[in-house]
Amino acid sequence: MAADPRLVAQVIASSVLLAFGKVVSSPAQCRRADAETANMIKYMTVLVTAPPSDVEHISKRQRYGIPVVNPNKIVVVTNAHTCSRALISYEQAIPSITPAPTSAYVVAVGTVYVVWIPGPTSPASEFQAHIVMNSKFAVLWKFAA
Amino acid sequence: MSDLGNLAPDSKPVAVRIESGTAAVCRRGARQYKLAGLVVVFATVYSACEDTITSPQTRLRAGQPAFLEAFGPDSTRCTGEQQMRTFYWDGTNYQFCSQTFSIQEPAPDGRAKITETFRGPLHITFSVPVYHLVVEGQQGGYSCSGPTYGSVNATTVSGQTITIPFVNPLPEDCGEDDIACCLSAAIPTDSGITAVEITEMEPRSWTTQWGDAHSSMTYDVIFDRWPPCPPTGDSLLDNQRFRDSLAAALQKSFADSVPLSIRREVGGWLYYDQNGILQAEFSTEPGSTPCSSIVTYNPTTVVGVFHVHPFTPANETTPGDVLPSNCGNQAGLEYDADTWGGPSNLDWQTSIYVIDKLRVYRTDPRVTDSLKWRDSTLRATWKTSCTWSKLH
Repeated sequence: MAADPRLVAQVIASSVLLAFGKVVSSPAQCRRADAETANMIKYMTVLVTAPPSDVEHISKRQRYGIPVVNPNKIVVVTNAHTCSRALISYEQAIPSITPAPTSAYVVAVGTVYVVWIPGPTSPASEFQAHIVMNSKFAVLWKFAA
Repeated sequence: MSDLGNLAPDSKPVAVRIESGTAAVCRRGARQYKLAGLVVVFATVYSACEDTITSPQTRLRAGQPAFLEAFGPDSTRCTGEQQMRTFYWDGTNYQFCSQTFSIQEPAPDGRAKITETFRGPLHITFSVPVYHLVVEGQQGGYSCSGPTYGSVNATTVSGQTITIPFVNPLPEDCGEDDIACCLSAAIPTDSGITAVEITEMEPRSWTTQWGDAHSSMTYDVIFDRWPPCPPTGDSLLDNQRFRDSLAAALQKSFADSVPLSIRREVGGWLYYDQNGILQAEFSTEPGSTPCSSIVTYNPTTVVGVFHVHPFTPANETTPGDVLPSNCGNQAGLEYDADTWGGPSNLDWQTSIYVIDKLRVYRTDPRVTDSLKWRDSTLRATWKTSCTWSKLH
């Protein structure tokens, strides 16, 4: 069976761009890295690097189910399958989102994911809904910010 | 983040001890006085909920034998009561708890038969320094002609004594009988106060054209547990009128209400009036929820916009509040004031002040790079480590 020339071209292009350390596109269900994901990475870094004296962040990290990992394990997920599963779980945890989201931000913190979509999920709230999920996409915690 | 709070000298609750110079004496039938039909002798201390207040004498417990003995065997009409209640003080919109100790003598005939109440100065000591101390005579009567209405002598942590004479806040009340109801004295210092002495008005008794008169007064002692909040460096936040407006917005949002679904985001805006005085207006847009509000204002005159997040953020000891059912599909989510520095992502789309139950936050309009939002948020802890209340 002949390979789809378009797929080959995409793989080659992605490889080239990744080699230069840039992400210019991601599978549809994964929202691309941007200021929101950068902010979340900073926030998660604060949680995982909190010193023993920082009781507030340590207790929050434990409550949210965030593991202590090396900050370089906090990354934006671009795997379409992961994002798809995360989005399904997100919609179950935050129902009745209109219009239904087709993609989500997914930031991996070691083995857990922090998942959210742009903007508020309800006209009754100015906040964004974030879901912390484990590797099986079970909800560990939900927070609004 | 620019955290300007956490300046509390310590977090110990305040224990307040009240002592009178001379024990109260209550007798029947000795003399008759013209004043109110119900004479109330009590000291009220408004303070933080966890503070403890000890009354002058154990006999203030109603119905206890010690109480009756202390007031003499013929004082069968004396009753006592001890009240505890939660008190929302409208003056500065901060929540306080109060314990009220009172001794009451009902006088069905409208003529109280009291020869003495508390005599001599009333001494109040605090286990830790308190701030913004005000003594208010809220109920009673005294001669407007004096010669003195008494005074408050406050001792500060440095040993300084500040004496403030009582003034009559309602001089028009003197009227034909030359008797007024109320007194007030505020201690004008930002230093911690360790003790106060309340001295009596004079004369204690005098004769009017209607008969004998007797001075009496119920004193409220009002204070804050925390020192004044330091300047934030933000000219609006350091304006007491704005601080009062933020505190008022928080109260209007029913931020202490349970269930949380009662709460509402309340917003408003600031402008300078024609006299250059900072004024605040509160938005009356309908449809606000505990998690959303709309603030409309005239952009040509507004100098600041603010709104309330009527929730407690996570802190060292407790998780953040959980959003209630009327926050749409975000019901059950923890309020997180950390992700974007305090304001929400939407809040960062404009220049705005946000106050929640612990801190006040300011977005910086000069920061357009959203990557820098979180770290550039001005945060000031206003609730637990310092107070924004002003001298009254």
